[in-house]
Amino acid sequence: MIGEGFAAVLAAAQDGSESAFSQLWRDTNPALLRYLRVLCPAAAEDIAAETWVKTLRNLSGFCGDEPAWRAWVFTTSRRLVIDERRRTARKPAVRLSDVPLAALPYSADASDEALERLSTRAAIEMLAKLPPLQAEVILLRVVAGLDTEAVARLVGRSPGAVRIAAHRGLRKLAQIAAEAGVTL
Amino acid sequence: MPNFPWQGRQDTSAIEDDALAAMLSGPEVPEDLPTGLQPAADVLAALRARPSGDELAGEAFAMAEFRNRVGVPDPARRPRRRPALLSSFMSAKVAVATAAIAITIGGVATAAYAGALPATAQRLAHDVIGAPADRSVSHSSGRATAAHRTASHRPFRHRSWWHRCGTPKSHPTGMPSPHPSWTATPHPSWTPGAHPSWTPRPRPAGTPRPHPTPTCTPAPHPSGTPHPHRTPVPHPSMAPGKHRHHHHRYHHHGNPVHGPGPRPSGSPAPQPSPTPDPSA
Repeated sequence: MIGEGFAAVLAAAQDGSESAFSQLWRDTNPALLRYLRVLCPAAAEDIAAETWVKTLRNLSGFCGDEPAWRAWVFTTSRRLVIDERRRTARKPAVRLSDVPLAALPYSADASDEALERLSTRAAIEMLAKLPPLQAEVILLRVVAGLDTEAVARLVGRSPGAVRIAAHRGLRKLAQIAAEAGVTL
Repeated sequence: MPNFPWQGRQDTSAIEDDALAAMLSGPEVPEDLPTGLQPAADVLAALRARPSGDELAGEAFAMAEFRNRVGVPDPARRPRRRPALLSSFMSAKVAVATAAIAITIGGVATAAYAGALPATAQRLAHDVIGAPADRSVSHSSGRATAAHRTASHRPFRHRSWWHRCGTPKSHPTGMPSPHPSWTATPHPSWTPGAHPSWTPRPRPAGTPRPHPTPTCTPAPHPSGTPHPHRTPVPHPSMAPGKHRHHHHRYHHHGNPVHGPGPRPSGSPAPQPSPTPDPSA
């Protein structure tokens, strides 16, 4: 999260500052990718890139704070995920999650980063075992940093339903992690 | 009363909702976290980890897209837009001014041909574009303006020679004053005084021709004698003061206003007789 300087960064990006937009992108894109790797792992990078194209198309007209910015970006991404699911339902393909984790490409530039990435991917894999709504709600609360009301508007549920889904997902996630015995 | 051993809600656990809400709300792990939630807290901490290299690999593509869509436009293009806007604005102004001038001229010309302009302006329009002359002058000059009006309705090229020569247009007699080099040669078939009923009368110059007085004589009956039953018979119920209605009726039907003859004031209106026409 950028924090208090978000308004200035957004205004500079809307005026055409590349450094400001880079800051926005570096803050938002990792969370977006983690969210997409749970919801649609086969096309996470493609959907993320398409999300940014759509975001840039309407960037000059956006007005809001940082939670609103994130909610806007994740809403755009979620709609693209829905479109992708409809498209893959018509044309089935091999999912990226079917590929073994060891076969996925990694950049082994630093051991700490590799360990951290590995732990992040392991966490994403564990989260993907949850029911879709519970996993999505936890991701939007934890990764995107949205509050319960914003998540409820995004997924089209009531805040109470979102709260219940998050709590049940956390309990189940604790069970999965305990059974796996994996130290992240 | 039976005592059921199972619980009402199967997903109810010992973990409080406040602890779950605290895990979701921030990156800091609560100190009083139940031991059963510690693996879930580790997973959430891994999800909140700082971004890795592959998660930032698409920055070049995003920046290129940003330059294409939002980036600052080339300053060299700015001065080229301004003259285009200025020229379009100026051309719009010129078009509006031209349209206003055209509408004004057209309106004045229309008013001039309709004779709706003031006297001075009407005279000016009459001289310049051949509009009809001032009506007040036309009425005062009588017969003189009749020929003049027909001449002035023509376009400028087809006007008579005396109009072009600047001679007075409203001659008292209605005829143009003869040019010294011009001598009128009457048609051989036309002789003044040939008509028996026409006798030339000397009339002073400048006086308009008197209006013909209407004849008050009723039209004669085709048979030569007036019809006896057409004689107005006074209606018994007609009040003496309502004679004007009959006058209006006669006038409406095209008969002379004065009707078949003078009637004494206050006498009842005539009424047709119910007896059949013997001549029919």
